[in-house]
Amino acid sequence: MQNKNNEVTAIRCEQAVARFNDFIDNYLKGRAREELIKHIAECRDCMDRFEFEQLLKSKVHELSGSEDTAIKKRIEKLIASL
Amino acid sequence: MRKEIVTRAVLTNISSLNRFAYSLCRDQSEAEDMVAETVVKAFENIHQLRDDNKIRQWLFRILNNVFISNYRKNKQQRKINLPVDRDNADHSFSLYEQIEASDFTDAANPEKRFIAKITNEKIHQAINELPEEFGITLTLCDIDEFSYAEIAAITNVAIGTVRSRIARARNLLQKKLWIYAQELGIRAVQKEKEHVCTCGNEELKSSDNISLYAK
Repeated sequence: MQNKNNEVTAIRCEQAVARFNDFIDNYLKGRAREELIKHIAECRDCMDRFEFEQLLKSKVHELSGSEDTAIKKRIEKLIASL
Repeated sequence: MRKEIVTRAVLTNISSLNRFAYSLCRDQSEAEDMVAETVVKAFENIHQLRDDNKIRQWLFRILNNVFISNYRKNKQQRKINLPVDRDNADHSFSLYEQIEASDFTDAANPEKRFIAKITNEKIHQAINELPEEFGITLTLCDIDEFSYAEIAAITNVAIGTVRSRIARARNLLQKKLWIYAQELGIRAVQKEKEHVCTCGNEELKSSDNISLYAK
């Protein structure tokens, strides 16, 4: 949304929270993104909640570090036989 | 040359492929068989790989097709007695708000301390307990870092479906982690935390703005 002075429009906390997932996943673009950034900069509670959501996503991403050597050996053998 | 590219991509992504296979079939032995079958199919169809930059997505898509063609039936037979937790109520659940309104707030940064307390095993278990479509989408997005468009291509659904599944998956994951928090002895002390808005926008009417999402 854009007002007559081309300023970023204020949004409510529920609207901001509803955009968190898209923002975290880099899917939120344009005016909607600017509105969210403005809101988070001004609203401490939403900023804290947003940081928590980001932190949780990072925690889930830690699972990518787990290695499975058994299947790796099996697949290496398989590729060598192809 | 192309064989080398596929070999490298397979071995680099072997844990991710195995994890995705498990999220599809929920059986470790079958997951490994599916990955092996995927590798065979990838080498057989190497000429179909048009863009080497998309090789990772291509491998995951083959794996998804292997599951649909040969393994989905087995899973449906196994599933008969498993409880289905789609839990349609309360889409607005927030783990952050629960922790904020708990007896865990007696020190600084309770949410960060809670995240630090959760073990990777618990996160893994919670994701595996999600209904399949949510577990699969969350695994591809948050663990393997595929974009919404890539997940849509791998799982053969619309981007809008991916987006809503991610939102729902994160919501359900937070509910499961709240159960875990309670097992750790964290207790809710208030019924609901009152949202304290410092932005001054709470006076806006809900109809003032409509969310605009760029595609």
